[in-house]
Amino acid sequence: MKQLLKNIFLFACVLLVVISVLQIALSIRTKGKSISGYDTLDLTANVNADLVFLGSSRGWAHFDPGFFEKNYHLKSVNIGMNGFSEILVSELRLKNYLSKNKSPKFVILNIDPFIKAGNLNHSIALTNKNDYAHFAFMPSKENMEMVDFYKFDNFEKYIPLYAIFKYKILTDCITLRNANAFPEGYEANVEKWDTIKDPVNTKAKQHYIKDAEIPNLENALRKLNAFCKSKNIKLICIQTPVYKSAYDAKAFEIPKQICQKLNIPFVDACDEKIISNIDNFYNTIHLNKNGVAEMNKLLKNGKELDTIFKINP
Amino acid sequence: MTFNSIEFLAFFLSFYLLYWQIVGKSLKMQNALLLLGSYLFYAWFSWKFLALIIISSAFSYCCGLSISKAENEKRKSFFLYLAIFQSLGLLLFFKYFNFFITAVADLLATINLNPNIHTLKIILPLGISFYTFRLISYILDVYNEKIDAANDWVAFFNYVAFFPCLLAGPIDRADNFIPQLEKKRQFSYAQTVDGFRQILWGLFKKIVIADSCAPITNQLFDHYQDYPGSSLLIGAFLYIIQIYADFSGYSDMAIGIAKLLGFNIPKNFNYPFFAQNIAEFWKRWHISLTSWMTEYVYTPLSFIFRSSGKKGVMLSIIINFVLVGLWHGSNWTFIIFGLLHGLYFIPLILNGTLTKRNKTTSNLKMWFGIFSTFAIVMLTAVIFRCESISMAFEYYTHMFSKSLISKPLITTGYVVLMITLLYITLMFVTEWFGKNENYGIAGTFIKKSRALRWSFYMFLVISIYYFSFVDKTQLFMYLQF
Repeated sequence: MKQLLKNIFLFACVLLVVISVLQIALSIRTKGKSISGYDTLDLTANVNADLVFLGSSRGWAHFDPGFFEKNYHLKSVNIGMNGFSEILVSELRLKNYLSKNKSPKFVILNIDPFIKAGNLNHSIALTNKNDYAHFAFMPSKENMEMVDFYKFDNFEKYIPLYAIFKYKILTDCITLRNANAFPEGYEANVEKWDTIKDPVNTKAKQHYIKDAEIPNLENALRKLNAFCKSKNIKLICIQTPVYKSAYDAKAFEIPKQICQKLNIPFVDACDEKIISNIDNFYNTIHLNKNGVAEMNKLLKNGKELDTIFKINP
Repeated sequence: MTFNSIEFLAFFLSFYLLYWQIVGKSLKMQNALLLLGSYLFYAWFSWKFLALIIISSAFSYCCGLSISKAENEKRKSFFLYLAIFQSLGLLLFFKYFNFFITAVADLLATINLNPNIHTLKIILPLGISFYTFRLISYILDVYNEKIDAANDWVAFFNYVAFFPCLLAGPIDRADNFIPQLEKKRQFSYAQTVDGFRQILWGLFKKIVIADSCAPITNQLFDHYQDYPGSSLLIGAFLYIIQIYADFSGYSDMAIGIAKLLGFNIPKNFNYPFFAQNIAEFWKRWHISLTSWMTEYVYTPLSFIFRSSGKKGVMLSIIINFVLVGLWHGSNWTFIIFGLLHGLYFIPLILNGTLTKRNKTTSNLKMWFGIFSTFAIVMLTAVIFRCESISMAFEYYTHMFSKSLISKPLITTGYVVLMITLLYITLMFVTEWFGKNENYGIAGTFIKKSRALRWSFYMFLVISIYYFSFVDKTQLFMYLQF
């Protein structure tokens, strides 16, 4: 029995070494890269941008860093988080960015009536969790908060290869086939809206912020603004367009009112011409590349951003 | 708590330590713990049906003793029939009652009689087909004086409920197993390592091969109308591999676990896909069932029909295989499956090669035999998988349509298919080189350096680790029988 236990222990140790080596090899392979295009934690390290875009998938799909670089001469990066409309997540993502970069001059937050304050009591099945699984094993100090936000468990954090196998990202980690999925630094979608597959609808309105949630949102935004100020960053909110079926003038007034109350510069890009043209969208709440270009034209012509960017803190 | 679950690992680890470290010095304690462990294992699945095993065991135990003590043939026969009636009766009721009732109703409907017959909501007790066969073989062997009736009830109850083999076999015989229970098991390093190795190979076949095939075959069989013939051919191929890897993997794990506890269970699979004809295939596939059927069904039948020459042999084989098919479940598909396999024996009987040992001289003939046997088995397995005869017929029709020569469409992706095929090839190559051993990797690199051998085991372990996340782990297929 002793001999057996000795050999089992030895085999387990060798196995642990082998899988640890494989895990390290994969970590080195993916270091500084993205495996799906969405997991930009490492990709946006050491960028030291002047302008950072925050927000949900709408922020991620609507802000073209190239446009801002060209027109405002501000080095820009988009760190929008697909699937998350909560301020809390944007703040976490910003903190992660700041731990790897110098503070930017400006942060632009995509704001709309879908935005919420957010809390950490959420389910473990989160959007794009798979893509972040390669950060889960022995997370770095900088990534710890994001890993905890995604609720990776201890097996995923401390057993080599566990998270990579569980979330089925081994092939992506080896091939890095999607590493350059968004070469323009945001989700530039050239598709036109396929209204047969995804019919025009008003469902998005169900996700508007409720009156009872507004105080929490105000607090969260106030906190984010204070955090930005503490880092010498100017926070700006831009309300980007949705298709007219998801638009309600009253609901789209709420973000503006909150921003005015908190003295945060607010730009409304929800222009009637943009929201009425279906060619600008690839679904109810996301602009396609054509729509982004239209919105950019509007921002450029509006001059509000020129004024704000000149007020350099 | 199947063998590939964390719960089983925790259960077995604690059981194993208790078994060898605490009660290892006393036979009685070893057997008592084994029985307790077996019942706990079964109760984990279904505590309600635990009573059924205990009652059936007690009944057969008493009948066995009564047979051995009976003073005349009449009394002996009485207890024999009583025991068989009890165990077979339960099996027939739980497994076939609704099937027979429906068949009778259908038959009466053909002559315009529509009796108001209702089926019952019956849950099939896990492992009933396996432990019933164990009980019947015991009682018949006692009756035929091949073995003595068990005096030690704990040993006998253990024989019926031995947890590694309880749910899906192998169907071990009393003459092999009970004597092992009557001797104190001694810990053997070599046997334990061999057991671990066999479990590893079983896990590999189950998790890496069978569970990788399952999503592809499920998709193809569930939506066969949407796929070209070429895809359905791949589906048929992967299904036979899946059922082999699943069931032989389970058997390897059961035998390996038994080895860890100091027991030797005969092998249940002997590389069936290397068989050169159908008779050889059945000598290698689910050996514990086929040998059981041969001894208790085919042999008595061929004795009854002995005066009819080859026709008698044919009839015996066909009945035997229909029953083999029916053993798998109450569905016409299983009966047709068995019937077809019985029919495949006819050419062998007619040309007198049924009992001749295959002495192939040419490689070409050998490979032809292997491939043709595999093709027949593979195509017949389609009926086994289908839910009805009509579905099987449609599957065949789709498969053998013009689209058989088109590019196959695989929804799960070609990369997944290629990886699965690669692992299947690895399994076959390993088993080919290990075909003279008890299981695929029993001799792999055994005489080579430890580094090489362990590297191979590491590769298997890491593959199992990876594939255990690939798809939701499927239950062992034979648990449903």
